[in-house]
Amino acid sequence: MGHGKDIKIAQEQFTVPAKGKKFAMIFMAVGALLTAVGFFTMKSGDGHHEATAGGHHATEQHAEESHAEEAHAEESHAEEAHAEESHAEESHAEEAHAEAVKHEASHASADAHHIEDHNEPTEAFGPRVKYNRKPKSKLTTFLTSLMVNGYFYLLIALAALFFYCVQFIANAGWATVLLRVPLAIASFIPYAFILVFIAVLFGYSDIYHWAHYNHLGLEKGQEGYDKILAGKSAFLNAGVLLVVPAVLVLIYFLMGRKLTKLSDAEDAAEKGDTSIFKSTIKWSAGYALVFGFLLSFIAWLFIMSVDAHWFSTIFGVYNFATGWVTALSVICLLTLFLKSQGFLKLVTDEHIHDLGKFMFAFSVFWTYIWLSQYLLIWYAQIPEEMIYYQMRFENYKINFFFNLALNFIFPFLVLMTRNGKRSRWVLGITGSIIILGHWHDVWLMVNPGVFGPGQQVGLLDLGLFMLIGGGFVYVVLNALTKRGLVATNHPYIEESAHHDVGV
Amino acid sequence: MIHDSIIRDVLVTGNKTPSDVTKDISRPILNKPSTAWKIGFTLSLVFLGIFALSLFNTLWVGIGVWNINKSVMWGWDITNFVWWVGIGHAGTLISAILLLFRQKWRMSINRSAEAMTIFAVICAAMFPVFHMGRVWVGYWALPLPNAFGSLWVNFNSPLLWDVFAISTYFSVSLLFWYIGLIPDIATIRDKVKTKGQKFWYNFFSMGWTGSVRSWARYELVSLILAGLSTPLVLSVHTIVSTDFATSVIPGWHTTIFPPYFVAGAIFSGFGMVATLLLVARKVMNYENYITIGHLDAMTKIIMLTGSLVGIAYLTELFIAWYSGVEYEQYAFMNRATGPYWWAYWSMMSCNVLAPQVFWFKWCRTTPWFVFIMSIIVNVGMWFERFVIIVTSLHRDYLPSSWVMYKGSLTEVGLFLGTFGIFFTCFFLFAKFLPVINMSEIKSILKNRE
Amino acid sequence: MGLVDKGLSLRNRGRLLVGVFEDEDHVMAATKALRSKGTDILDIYTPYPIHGLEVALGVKRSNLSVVAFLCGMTGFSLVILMIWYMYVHDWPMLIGNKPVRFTPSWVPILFEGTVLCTAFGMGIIFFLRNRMLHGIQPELLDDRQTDDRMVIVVEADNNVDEATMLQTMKEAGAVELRERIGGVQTVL
Repeated sequence: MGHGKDIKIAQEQFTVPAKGKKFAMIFMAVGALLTAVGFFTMKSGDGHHEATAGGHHATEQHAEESHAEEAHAEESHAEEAHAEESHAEESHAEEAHAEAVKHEASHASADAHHIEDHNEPTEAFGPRVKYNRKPKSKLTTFLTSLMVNGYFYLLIALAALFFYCVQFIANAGWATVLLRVPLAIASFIPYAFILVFIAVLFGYSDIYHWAHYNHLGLEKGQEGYDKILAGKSAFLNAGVLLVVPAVLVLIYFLMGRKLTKLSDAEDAAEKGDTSIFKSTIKWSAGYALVFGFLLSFIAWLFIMSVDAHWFSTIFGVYNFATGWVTALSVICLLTLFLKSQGFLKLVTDEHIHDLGKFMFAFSVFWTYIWLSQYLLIWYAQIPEEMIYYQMRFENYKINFFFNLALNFIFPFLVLMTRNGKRSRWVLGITGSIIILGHWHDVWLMVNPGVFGPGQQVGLLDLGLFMLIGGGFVYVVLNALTKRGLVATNHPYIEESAHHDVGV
Repeated sequence: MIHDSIIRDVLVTGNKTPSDVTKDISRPILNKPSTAWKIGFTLSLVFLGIFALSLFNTLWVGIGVWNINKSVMWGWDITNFVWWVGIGHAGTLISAILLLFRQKWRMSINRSAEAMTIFAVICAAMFPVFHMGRVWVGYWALPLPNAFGSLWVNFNSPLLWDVFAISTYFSVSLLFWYIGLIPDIATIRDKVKTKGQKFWYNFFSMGWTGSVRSWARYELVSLILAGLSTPLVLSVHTIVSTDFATSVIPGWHTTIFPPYFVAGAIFSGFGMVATLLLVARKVMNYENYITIGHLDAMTKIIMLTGSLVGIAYLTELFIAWYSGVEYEQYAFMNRATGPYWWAYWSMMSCNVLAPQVFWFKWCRTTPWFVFIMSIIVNVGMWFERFVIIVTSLHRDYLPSSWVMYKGSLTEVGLFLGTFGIFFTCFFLFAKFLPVINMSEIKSILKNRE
Repeated sequence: MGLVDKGLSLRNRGRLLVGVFEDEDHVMAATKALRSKGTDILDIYTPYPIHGLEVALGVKRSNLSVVAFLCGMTGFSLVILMIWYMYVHDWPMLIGNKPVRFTPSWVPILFEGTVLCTAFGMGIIFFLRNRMLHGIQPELLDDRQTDDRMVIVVEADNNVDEATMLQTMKEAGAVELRERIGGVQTVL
């Protein structure tokens, strides 16, 4: 094992191999084609809308809101009455209660169609539940898909940089031989963000229910006034949506730049000079801090606010878990690709094994976070929270279980064995499935909230995923050519080259 | 050949050889107890006496001697339960998660941290058990047929999940700790002189000889147990958090509770490990084994988990506002500015602000300072549980049930008394078992971290 | 192959050659040298785990992870069965409008039960396989083999001649060479 091997640390200069170029090109071409086909074959707005588009919007929305508000008011009246009565006549209160339960139960049995056909909230999950079923134009569908895909790649790039930083903060040596890979992935941060930004800039009043509501400018007491959304308007408004994530990503981007510069400086420095290493640790800690504290804002603004009435405190952590495990898989796939092309000679099965361990562990971690959110919401059955899973469980049942199968069951079973984690084939396939699975996870976080029931992953989504993915590969491979592939002056390079996972 | 980077510090200072390690670490076991040990042990027994008195009062008079006949029915007792369970997390965390992450510095501290886990879980278990009131039918918490007087247990209840989680955690931790102890017990077995000692160490060493094949299996089993214990550690405090979070009490029902409780548990656990080891290192002269480098690493983890807890506090506050649910908004407003504001701000300053001093190297590497900080951390974590339980319960949905709560003398006594249990166990452990994992330390004498 | 690893026992062995070492690098060197000469090493005793020594000795990777997996599956099934029997079949309880069938609220207990069965199942098999039992008398070759000395044991009826074996160990850095017949050791 680690004993007695003599390994020479040598610099490698990376040039984009023909296979890499071809892969990126084909991915982009197929992606573009699928996007175009998807866009033009899409039935605009899923069935029944054209007529109600535009001016009708507002009134429809009005009706919905006011109804909800009324129902809410009624309920609270009933509650008060209930409380008063319960002191006076218990039996009466009980009767009333029983009635209410019956009422609820009858509605609970109503199926999704019933909900869709009548423009009224479902009583079973409380009066405030309503589906935002504004008809969507093709452009909205496109922009939503762009937002989902851009956000997905943004998460990957940010989390990859986080991976880079974690190695420094944790004083870890094993990954030193492949550190240039996550660093290169981080170079995609600005591109991904620009895509999200474009999508949000042009589509925000259609993607975000609250943005549409803000446009109406309703005052308290007016028909259609929504107390909840009005209360959130200090946070959910165009200014915050466009400025806060932009500022945050700018900070992340600049810190990524700084870390890249530091690694270049390290390459140029004398051997044995650890001052750059030390300042890299400091900057890494800084990035981890802003990333950890502020990633939630991006997740809340872009993704959670799609379901504007809904909220969940774990949502930022959930997005982190999704991005993190995807980034690990991307790092693993890229490393395997580089190895297959004869680069990264210092990377051995031991490093690959460790990446596999990480993918396994954080797939389980993702599931843990997923379960924490689902279990608690399911258990407490509070209408305001149930709305999220009600929509996804009732109308997206296949996606709901598909999500768990791809992101938990498959990687869990396959990567459990030692041999699975050491086989390049198995890791390649599992990594791809994890990436697809979490892409679908992000899709599922957004689309039901925007479109209501009846949407499905389409050619457009897949096309954009591939189109941007091709660009991603292209950018990352190019970033790898800018500097040596091996951090030869890194103080831990020696021990990383001799890395041995042990038992 | 060892390839550890030379810029890393050595793990064990003082150029120790394997036989030095055996001598240093088995000294307290082979010799008569020191004065410091005797004083400490006597003091622990005093606290154990307080526990016995308080418990007698509780059982003789009834659960009414606790100040919980009001809407704050969980009071000090569940606060203490969660606090002790939290402390019980660092041990398995250090030996499991740090083993998976191949952090070799864990080897100096994992043994005592695991012991601490086991004792802390015992302390924790006292509270829910006696909180049941009729403790003599406590076995109803087990899945027993209806004929035993209870019904079959309710598998949907987080309290039952707790029964399973805590007992599994306790027994698996005990197994993990014991398997790790066997080679060291064998070492002691081959050193002790008296017949009684020989018998007992021989009994517990299970015939260990140190064959390479045994070691290979031992290492594999340690790894698998670590892999099992890691999700187990997370699950235990997750389940403790669901005791609160599955309910519909504002301030309790929030989805971030599971990971946030886990982070808090690790935070307080490391606080307690630091407290104990700083004393042990001084009293038992283990400065070469528990080095400044260990303090540095531990305090970094304290800072990290403190910050994670801080993120959770701020997220809760923000989402309470964002949710637009007036009950949530009130609950958090009441925490920060209501009658228990002092508890909330103690929690905030001890858990979130105070650990930020560990950004500075001096603070991480000065033993007396770390000692004070470690106590602050544990005070802060106690307040966290107090805030969660008391401030959420003392304001009911019905304003007529609004009350103020403070622990009764018996509750305070029980809490202080658990320190008696904890330290009595710990002193006995330090007398009869090696406080540092000798065999692991011997394998890393030349390594650096 | 029985459950207990019989190779761990020194009972009923013929003449044994024992080499005592005080440095892990020397043991490693001796092991490699002996094996390269075709000697079958009976066992090596070390006070602490030495990485790579089991590989040098040619010990096969233990199957305890498979055991753990099987125990885990058994535990998982048993807990499902338990909850189903008690909660669905025998005496369903309707509390808080939770359905009487598999729900997410089964997950915590399922997980705990699985972990419990895995850990203890594997632990017990580990003890048995390692020939470990409370109160069993250890067969020690050196009273410092759990302290700081490493011991290589070779059976004398090997296909390599005795003098070469002893010479190899001596060259690798053995501090003492002994022979052991019927439990009695004499220094060579």
